[in-house]
Amino acid sequence: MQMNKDYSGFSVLDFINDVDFQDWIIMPNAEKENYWQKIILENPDLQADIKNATYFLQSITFKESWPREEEIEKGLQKALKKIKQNEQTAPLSVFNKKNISRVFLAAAAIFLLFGLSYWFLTGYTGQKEKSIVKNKIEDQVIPGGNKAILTLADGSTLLLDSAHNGALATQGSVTVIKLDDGQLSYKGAGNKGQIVYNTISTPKGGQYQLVLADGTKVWLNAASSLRFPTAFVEKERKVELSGEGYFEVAKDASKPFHVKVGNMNVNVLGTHFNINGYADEDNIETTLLEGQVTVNSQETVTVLTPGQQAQLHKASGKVKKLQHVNMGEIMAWKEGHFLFKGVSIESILRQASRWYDVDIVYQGKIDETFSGGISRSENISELLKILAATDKIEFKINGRQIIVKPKS
Amino acid sequence: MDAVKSEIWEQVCLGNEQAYAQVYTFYYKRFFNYGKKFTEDILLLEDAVQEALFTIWDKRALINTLDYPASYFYNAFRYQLLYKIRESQKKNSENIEVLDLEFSAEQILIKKENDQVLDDKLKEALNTLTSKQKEAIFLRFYEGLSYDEVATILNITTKATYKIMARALEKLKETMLVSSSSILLLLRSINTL
Repeated sequence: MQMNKDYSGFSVLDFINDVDFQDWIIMPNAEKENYWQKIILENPDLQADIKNATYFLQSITFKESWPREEEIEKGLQKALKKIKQNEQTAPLSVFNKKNISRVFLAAAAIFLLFGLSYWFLTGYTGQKEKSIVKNKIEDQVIPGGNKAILTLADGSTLLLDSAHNGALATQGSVTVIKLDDGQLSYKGAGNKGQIVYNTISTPKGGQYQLVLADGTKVWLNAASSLRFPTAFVEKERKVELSGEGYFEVAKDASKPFHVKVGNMNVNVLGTHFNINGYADEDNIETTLLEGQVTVNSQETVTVLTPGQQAQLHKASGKVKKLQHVNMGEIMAWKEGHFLFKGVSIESILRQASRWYDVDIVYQGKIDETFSGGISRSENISELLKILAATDKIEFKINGRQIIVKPKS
Repeated sequence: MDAVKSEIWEQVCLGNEQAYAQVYTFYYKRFFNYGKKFTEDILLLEDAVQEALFTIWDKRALINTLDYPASYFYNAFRYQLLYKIRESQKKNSENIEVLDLEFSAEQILIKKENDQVLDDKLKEALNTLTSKQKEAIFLRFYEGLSYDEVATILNITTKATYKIMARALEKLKETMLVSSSSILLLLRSINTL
């Protein structure tokens, strides 16, 4: 509310159209009541007009028709059943093609609903059809897919996008199986005292999902790797991550789960969380969705509860705890989108460079921040087109190099 | 209108189904009442409500990144409803021409009037308002949404929303002042201030 606004000379119509005045009539509260009573006292000549305007706005009302309670209840049960069904199938098929196209359709529908006003809202200023045409971007850099390389204990490697399904390798008593939907699974108890480590690495433009021997699910984003034992025979479950991964740790109170990222450790009992620890980012960000984790770095121990994020600043070693982070934005990669809210162009293009395997070259500085999103199954040109539509940036594609400059 | 509290929405975003049930019940009522302004077909309306409410759960992560989550709920519902109405019109009419979707004028009542002349004048004025004007007034003054939110729902700019609303309000006000004598009489009996 705009305080101490000058209402002298206001007509009935001016009051009717005044947003603060409307708010008072629509949703009165003590604060608004005091404010307007004061205005009336101080401006006796406006009293009649305010009365008129009040009467007018209060006169506008609408016919009401409400649904029957039992219909709401019936609908709710149906919706909850559908949610349950989706949950049972969803985690296993997050990355399969059908799902991506569904996510994309949904994203496209939202795009249609909101138009450009939502996509890259911050920099958008009116109709920019022309600039899209001007910034004609060649359509050759296609998005990434389910690709990873598995390195076995003996140093041999397997390319996972082309490997056929079924048992891939047996190491000791543990068998590595590639399931029908492409994800990797480890079966077998493992022998005590004999720990066998495997490493799974995604290239730029790759992502992969695997299930560890204890049932823990791991989603690996592009340009990331995870080193893990093929069976958890020790007192503690220890894995090592670089890049970004989302974990759904299987509950086992007797065997704590540890993720090592650089010099930082995340300790868990059974919980869902995301770690973004790319080498080219300033911070290692650990975000908790469910359960509880502690983040240990040098001397500091940070306890996270759901919705919180720990940011470890790598250069200084300082840990910052954020209270309500935007889960949608952080988990977007796992759901097959890019989502940004008020971030720099560098941050957007760092993510793009990992997914599309391109190099970014800057010619000049861009101070704007951007908000918006797009499906990761779109070609990079779509993302660049939307960014260019803000009329703040220009792009040029040179093979796998993208040149970025401020729009002159 | 009490919007669903942001804490409840946060819980929905974290996957809490109980919180979703609260959001569901709240918006089922709001959407049903809103949709009734466009159609009398209850089955179609209930279908649209159901689908929009499922979308809220399904796309909660995306919706949560938007500036006005509540207006997305309305937008998703409106989109579903208008789509379904158009589809059923295509099916049920032999001529291909699709009728304009109307926010029905009869749905706006001016309360407190006990004057037949004023009543008729207002009906006349209401009929001259466009469907969008009527809908904007409904969303702002009945649902209690902000201008930005109304703009998002109607898929127009905030500036255009101010314009539409100002013209509609002016038209309605003119009509009421024409029979000002009766209004002045009424005003004496009102002690709102």
